[in-house]
Amino acid sequence: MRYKITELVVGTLLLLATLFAWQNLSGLPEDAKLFPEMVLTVMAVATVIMMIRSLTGASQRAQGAEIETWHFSINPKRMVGGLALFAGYLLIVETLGYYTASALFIIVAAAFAEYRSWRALLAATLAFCIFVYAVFGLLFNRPLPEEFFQSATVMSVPAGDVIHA
Amino acid sequence: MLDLFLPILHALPVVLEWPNILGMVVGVLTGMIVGSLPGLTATLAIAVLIPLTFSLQPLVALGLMAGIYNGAMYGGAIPAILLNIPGTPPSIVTTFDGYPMAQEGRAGYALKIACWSSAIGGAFSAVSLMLFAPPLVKVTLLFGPAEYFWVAIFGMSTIAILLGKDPVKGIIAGCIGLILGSVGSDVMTGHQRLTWDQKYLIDGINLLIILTGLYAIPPAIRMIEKGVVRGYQLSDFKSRPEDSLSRNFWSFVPTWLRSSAIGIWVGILPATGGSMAAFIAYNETKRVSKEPESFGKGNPLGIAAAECGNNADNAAAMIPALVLGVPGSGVSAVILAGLLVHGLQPGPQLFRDTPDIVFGFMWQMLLTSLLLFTLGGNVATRVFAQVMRLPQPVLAPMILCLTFVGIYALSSSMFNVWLMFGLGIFGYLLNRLHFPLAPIVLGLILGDMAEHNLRLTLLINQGDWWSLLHNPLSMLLAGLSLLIMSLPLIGMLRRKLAGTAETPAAH
Amino acid sequence: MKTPYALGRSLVAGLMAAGMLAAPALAEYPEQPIDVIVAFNPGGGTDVAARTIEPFIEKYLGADLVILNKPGAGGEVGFSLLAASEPDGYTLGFINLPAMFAYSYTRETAYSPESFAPVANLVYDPGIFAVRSDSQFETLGDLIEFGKANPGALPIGTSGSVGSSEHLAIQQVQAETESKFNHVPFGATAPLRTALLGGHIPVAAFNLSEATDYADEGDIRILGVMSAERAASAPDVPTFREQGVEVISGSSRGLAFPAGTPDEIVAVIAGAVAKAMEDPEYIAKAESAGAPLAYLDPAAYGEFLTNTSTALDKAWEIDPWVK
Repeated sequence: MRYKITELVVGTLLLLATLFAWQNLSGLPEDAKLFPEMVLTVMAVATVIMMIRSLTGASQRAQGAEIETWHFSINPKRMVGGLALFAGYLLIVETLGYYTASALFIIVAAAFAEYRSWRALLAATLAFCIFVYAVFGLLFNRPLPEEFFQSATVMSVPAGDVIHA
Repeated sequence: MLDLFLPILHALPVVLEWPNILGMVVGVLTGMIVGSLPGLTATLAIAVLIPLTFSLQPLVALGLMAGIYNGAMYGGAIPAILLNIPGTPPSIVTTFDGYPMAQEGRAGYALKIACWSSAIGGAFSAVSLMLFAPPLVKVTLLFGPAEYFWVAIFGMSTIAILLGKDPVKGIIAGCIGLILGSVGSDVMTGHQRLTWDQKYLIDGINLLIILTGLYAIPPAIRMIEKGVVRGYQLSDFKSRPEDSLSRNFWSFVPTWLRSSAIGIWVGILPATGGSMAAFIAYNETKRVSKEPESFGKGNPLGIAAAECGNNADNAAAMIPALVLGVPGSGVSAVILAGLLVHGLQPGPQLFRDTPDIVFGFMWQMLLTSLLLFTLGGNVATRVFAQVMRLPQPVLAPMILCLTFVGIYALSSSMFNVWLMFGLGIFGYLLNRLHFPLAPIVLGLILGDMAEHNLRLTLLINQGDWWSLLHNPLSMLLAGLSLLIMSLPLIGMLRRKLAGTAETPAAH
Repeated sequence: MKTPYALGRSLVAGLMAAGMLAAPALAEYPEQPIDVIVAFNPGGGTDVAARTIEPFIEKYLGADLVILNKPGAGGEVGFSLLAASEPDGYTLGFINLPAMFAYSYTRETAYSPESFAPVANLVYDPGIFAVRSDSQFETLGDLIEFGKANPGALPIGTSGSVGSSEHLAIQQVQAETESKFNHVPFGATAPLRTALLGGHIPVAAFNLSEATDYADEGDIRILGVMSAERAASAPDVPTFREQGVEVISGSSRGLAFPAGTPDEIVAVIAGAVAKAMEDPEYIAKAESAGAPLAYLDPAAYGEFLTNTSTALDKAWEIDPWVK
């Protein structure tokens, strides 16, 4: 039952996305939109078939016995929380700097997933930061968001990217 | 005949000098690390390292690049097997059988197969590069837009095996890939397609953003949900007695030979690349297998085909790159840039003017493949086994932090990072509803190639659709694609007919 | 992400004013590393060119250059960032003509020719028409005759997309000679060149530096070069002008500051670039990489930039390439 509802919801979302994309393509010259419109048509038809199969129960049968024990999420609280923490991490990473934000995120996320060996956690976090620094900072010299305590005095370009390495 | 081999042998002693060997070893290790991190590829690593190689001797620099190239292609298999997260695009195919094997507690054996298959595929490829480079290039010239269109269709025809249990969902996934692939500025008309005026979408969505979004984020979120504290144990990396590669060696040989041939063929064609080689090699191995239903459930031959195919693409992709200046893949394009920096202009004159360097580079492609045997086996199982022992609640946020680095490094833009995040949620939904993800990637890689070449053919021939079949080669390729596509359908029909007598529960 | 693209132009004007007021003490310039925006991926043509000249400019400038790759939208993202950055002499960028201005006809760009303070041109690569050596076309004249007799029948492949310099050159040829060809955009040089060598496309338009080796080997024949005078790397190939077709076109790569950067600072960098481009070691490197060097000082480069932009305006007015 839950599988059916989820399928119908995702099917509806896919159909809406198809419409949305179709509308974006409508102003283009014929040969530029021919191929994407063909694909969108196939996709819309397939999605409708999927939804019909979902209503008749065919799509559940296709997955075999494991569908009996299907849950959308093993632990909905942790799924939403995990995604929210990751989103929060992405929001602060440019302000706090990569290493500070990552260390914070790893510790908070692990604690959130009920991991309680603090010493192992701190050691792993430290090792992770050193590894990333060695590979990205030293070897490849890739730009990463700068730490807040470093960049406090430096001007930044309008894009919000810190320019002075 | 001797004329052919003398320059090849002449280059060998130079390659075996100490600085060159060191360059290769460092390259292979770097490549394995880069390859194993989702979002980082050999292309990026080599591109960024090129300026550092300015001061090095050309052969040391080239050895480093050859090492990164071969190392990264194997490195991608490590997270693919252990975590179901492909480190590089081609290793998507490795996840099909690699991850199920790891779940059965055969991670060590799976890694060993991946390592051996990579090394063997790479070695075959390098030998083909040495022997066939100049003559094979004439073959590439036969391929025009019409033929490339059929090559893309041929690649897409392997989609049939990726459809999963519910083919309708597989088709939807393929369409999603094709649509994501058509985002961006349309080369033929200059119009924007599906960009909604977003500057970062005009060049199209980078494959890596889609790959990390769909493949790395959902498993990491699942890990946080499960919160299993017990990671991989060291015993998981010890092979069981029946899983001995030396004993089963001969059972892999046909797969290795077939996949190497496929990888070399795909590599020689410009603009195809390792992902396609792996997909086709996997498809063929499954097709000729006596027990095709065991693929996707932990069949060692599946890993062998995927890894051997994608590494056999490596050196072969350098054939058109070196002889014509036409790169066969993204990585070979960067290596070309590296050659230019050292003053080596690709083209026919390269072989005439600097044979020691060209053939030296070919030896390095061979030697770095062979280095995988020693470095790949030990480093992978020792170092990565330690990493994988981390409990999931700690490993998951680390994976997420690494995805950030990879995508941010592309263009230092948060737009791409948020795009990856959105695709991650989308991937989670698709995952939970048993949509197969591989068709998305296949559609993404080949859709653009098929569309562009179709439109080029039609434009050159003023809208004449028959021009797609204008010569024997295009007809042959079209016939092959149709054949490959219809084979599973015929099989399905036959099974349907035979299965009507059985009850649905028997499926 | 937060870049206010729409605000770009007014922002540039504002920054210009701010730059005038807060002119830094020039005596010590440069006193910190200078960022160099490369609007393309690591490993791309512009990136390799930038990394090749970087150490030589550093040598004559006595300061560090830090290359930042800011790819996106065919370079537009990086060009916009450059146009909107502080005109304090610490953000420099590579710009590509005419490609960067061709975009602004089909979509709104956050920069215009006035957004930049040109520093120096480094590379100028003229366009060419090439055929395979067994082709029926011996000269540019043969090609144009064919284009007049059979309007639109002959496909010409270009290495760019719609609106690229090669595409515009074909349009110019058509307008000059009243011939008509069929433009086929391949989008990149490598597939175009293979298609030409393999006989899948009869004529190809791309850059000279990417053709000379094949012409030397005798695989292809260059019908004409779109430069004012014959190119040093192909002295036997006549120009379009010599053959009676007044078309001058090519792609160039140069350095620019955001508009409003003090002239003294521009002069310091231009001086260092000029010296770097006379360095024999650099000349040798550029030559082996096939980059045709063509130094222009700030004044000449500025003029070139304006001319390129007016020529594009005119071309767009006559025949817009995107309808």
